[in-house]
Parts: sequence; C-alpha cells; structure tokens
Amino acid sequence: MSGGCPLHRGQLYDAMHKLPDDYRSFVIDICRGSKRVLEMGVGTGRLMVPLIEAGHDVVGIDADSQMLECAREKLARAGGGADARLICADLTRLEEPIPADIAIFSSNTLSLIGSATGRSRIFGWLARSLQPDARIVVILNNTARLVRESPNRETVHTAMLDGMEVTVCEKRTLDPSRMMWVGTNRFVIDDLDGSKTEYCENVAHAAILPVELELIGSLHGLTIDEVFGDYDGGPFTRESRKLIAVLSRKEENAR
Amino acid sequence: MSSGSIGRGGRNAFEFPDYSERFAALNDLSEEYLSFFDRFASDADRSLELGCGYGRILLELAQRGHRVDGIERDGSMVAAARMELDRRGISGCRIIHGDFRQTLSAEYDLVYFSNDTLAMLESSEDRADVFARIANMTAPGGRLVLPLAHPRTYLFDPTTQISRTGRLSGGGEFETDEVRFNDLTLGQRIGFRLEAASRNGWREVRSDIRPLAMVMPAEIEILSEAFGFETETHYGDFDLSLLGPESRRFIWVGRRK
Repeated sequence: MSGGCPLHRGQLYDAMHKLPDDYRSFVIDICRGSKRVLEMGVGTGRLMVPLIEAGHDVVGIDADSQMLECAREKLARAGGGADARLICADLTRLEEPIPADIAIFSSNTLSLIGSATGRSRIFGWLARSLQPDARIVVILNNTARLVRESPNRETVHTAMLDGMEVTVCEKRTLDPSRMMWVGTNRFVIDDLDGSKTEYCENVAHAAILPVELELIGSLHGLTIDEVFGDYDGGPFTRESRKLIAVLSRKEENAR
Repeated sequence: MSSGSIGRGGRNAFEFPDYSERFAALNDLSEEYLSFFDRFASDADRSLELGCGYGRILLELAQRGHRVDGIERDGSMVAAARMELDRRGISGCRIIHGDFRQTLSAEYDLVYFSNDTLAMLESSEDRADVFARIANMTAPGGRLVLPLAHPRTYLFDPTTQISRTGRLSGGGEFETDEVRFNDLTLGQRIGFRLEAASRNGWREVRSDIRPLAMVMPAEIEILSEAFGFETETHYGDFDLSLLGPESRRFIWVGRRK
C-alpha cells in the first residue's frame, strides 16, 4: 500500500488518529471478565497497552508490519513487550486456533477487508478457534448514517510529527455497485528545512450493513446478542455514529 | 402482507384484473429482456425458473425450443401456466407447485430468477437456505442468474416513490403508486402500494404492504462462495451492459463449481 510513503506508516497513523477516551473505556469495559483478549487489527497497539494494564492476556493480529512495529515499541515501553503477543498475518488466512475469551475487531478493521467472502472466512475461523462461551465484538462506522449524510466526503487533518507538519486530505465516494467506499489519501509533508513532499494512496473500505453480520453469523453458527449505536452503549438506530455488534456461538453449538 | 379494497366499484363493477393482466399492463415483455434469458437457456439442456408466475418468461423460452421447468407457489398461476403450455402444445416443460424451499431431485444447467424475486424473502437466513437448495439443483458447471435491485436505487434516499401506468389487455387503464421506506439498519424496503384499475367509467383501488429485503452484493458474494458457486459476470441490465455505479440493475451470474 505504501510504496513511496516517506514516513513510517505506524507513526503517521498515531499522529493522525488520537485514541478517543470513550472508545478506550468501551473496550476496557466490554473485555472485563474475559481474561484472554484477541485483538483483530491491532494496528499500532493503541488499545493493547491499556488492555494489558487492565490485567488481560492480549494477542494482537495485524497484516501491516509497519503498524506492528509501533505496537512492539509501545509494548516495550510499557514493559510488557513479548513479541509472541503480536502476530503479523492476513486476517482472512488464519488457520491455527488461538483460544481466547473475547475477540475484538478494533474500529473499522472489518471494513478494511475488501472481499465479503474474506470477511466471512474470518468469522469461520473465529467460530472454530474461540472458547465455546467467547464473545466477538465488531466495531464499525454506521453505513446508514454515512451514506445519507455524505456519499461523497472530503476531510482534511493536520498533525505535527517529529517537527514536520503533515496534512492529509481524505476523499471518499461510495460505489453502490460494490458497496465500497473508494478514494484517496493525499499526504502533504512540510519538512523543517522548508521542503515539501506529496504522496497519494488509493483506499477502498467496505460499506457494511448489519444484515451482513447477521448472514455471516448464521453461516458460522453465531448469533448477534447485542447491538449498540455508540461507545456509550446507546441503542443502534439509523442516526447512530457506530455499529457495534456483540456475537457469540449459538447455544446448541456451545454445548 | 395485508391487502384491502377501498374501491367504490359496487356489485356490478368490472372484476379487478388478475395478477397476470396487471403485471402485463406495466411490464413490456421486451425482446432485450427475453433474449437475455434466451442466451443463457441456449447454453443449457435443462433450465429452471424459480418463481415463474403464470409463465411469462418461461412460456416464451419454451416456445423457442428450450426445456424449461418452473416453480411457482401461487396455485392459480400454476394452473394458468400449465393451461398455456397445453394450449401452445408445448411438452417437456413442467410447472411445479411449490415455494423456493421445494427441492427437486433433478439437476439443471441453468437456474434463474426472472426478477428481483429473492428480495421477497425477508430474512437472510431464509435466503441462505434457498441458496443451498439451488446449489443442490444446479449441475456442476451450471449457471445461476440472479437479477436484483441495484443498491443505488434504495441506498441514498429514505423513501422512493414509484408510479407506473399501463393499458390493460381487456381495455382500460392500470396504475400503481408505491412509496418505499428504505431502512438500511433493517436492510428492508417496505413498500406501501396502491393499485388502481379503471375501465368503462369504473375505478377500483387496492392497497397492500410488501416488505422487500435489500440483497447486497456482499451477500451474494458470501452465499455464492458458501454454496459452491463462482462469479462469472456482473451485468448492469438485461442489455448485457456490465455493472457500474450508475447501472439500472445488479444482475449476478455465477457458475456451480
């Protein structure tokens, strides 16, 4: 994906995306009582450190080695840096089971999996891999709201990174024939010496609706137990910012 | 589903046109539409239409020499289709009275829906079940043709209004006016429909509510893989144009592995 990106992707991500407090507390709360946490799309490990501090055993999986590098550094700084807890792998190709009591798809991880069959395959693996009474938590943006508000959107963020000013312009358009948000991230980096670097990447995110989770669940013997519309645990409606679904194995399968 | 009559027709009014007449008034059986299915049927020894109604497409394909069976759950339509097969002297085509859950022991080289009929099954679990049954009835290498509503037709607006008018074959006019409430959180389009038939100064209006599912591209991708199909082509309409963001329809064509 990166190719010519002059900056470390993980550092860039952390500089651009501050971890929201409500997101962190939601994850900490929902994992309470579940000793072993599996984080799907662990990225730069922003949630992993607080989870370890809360006493969990955490395994984080991510396909992006640069992001994982940042996670490793964070773990080392927090004094819990065992490499074995981070796995660099394509989420859709996992085979060996990893027993856990809860699996969390961190925010929008699932929409980064472009193929619907790939998304379904991940749940198939989880259903085989997790403990019988384990829960699966999926956190996504609410497609219904995004589509109605802005099928074409453009956002600009600026952040400082090692003395450089980084601006990213994100453009997204919904392609309804594929149900994908497609677009570009255009980075402009103003360096200390006054030089300017530009770099552009193409992005594609799936626009996922709750019916897809129901369908995938039913194919793999999972049921949706709870659906929230935001990190405060409020109900899911068309106006909700988030779509947060909690799944578990159907009872007959758990027995 | 509910249905009511709020006509002022009275006892001596004309009879409200039956489904086949109403449907025909609004839908031209275009050559383009027919040849779309004809093309796939030409590639198959035996074809099956799911939800064949009174045989609008099936009879035409049979007339062109294809061996097509049909499944239809409405008994009166089954009778109409069978009668028409007899009238036209077509043999070798069967109309089976049953719903999509009907499993036939036969294997077909082509299984098709002629319309967005799969969306009439409200739950994704039911649709998955139907897909599994279709897989059992499709020969290896055989095709499944699935015309669906293009997501753009319901995605961006909370409501869609569809008004259509046509001439009834027995004279008079038929109009429908439908407002659909598109709920992405439920994955449903709930249609409130008024149907009005007018003939010789009489007018009768009926109403119904029909929930239609939003069958998403992702769902077809997941179900087709789960039940042993692979995608062959996505068409954007019956004119064989390829699928794009602005297409009229979303037509999935896959082959059984």
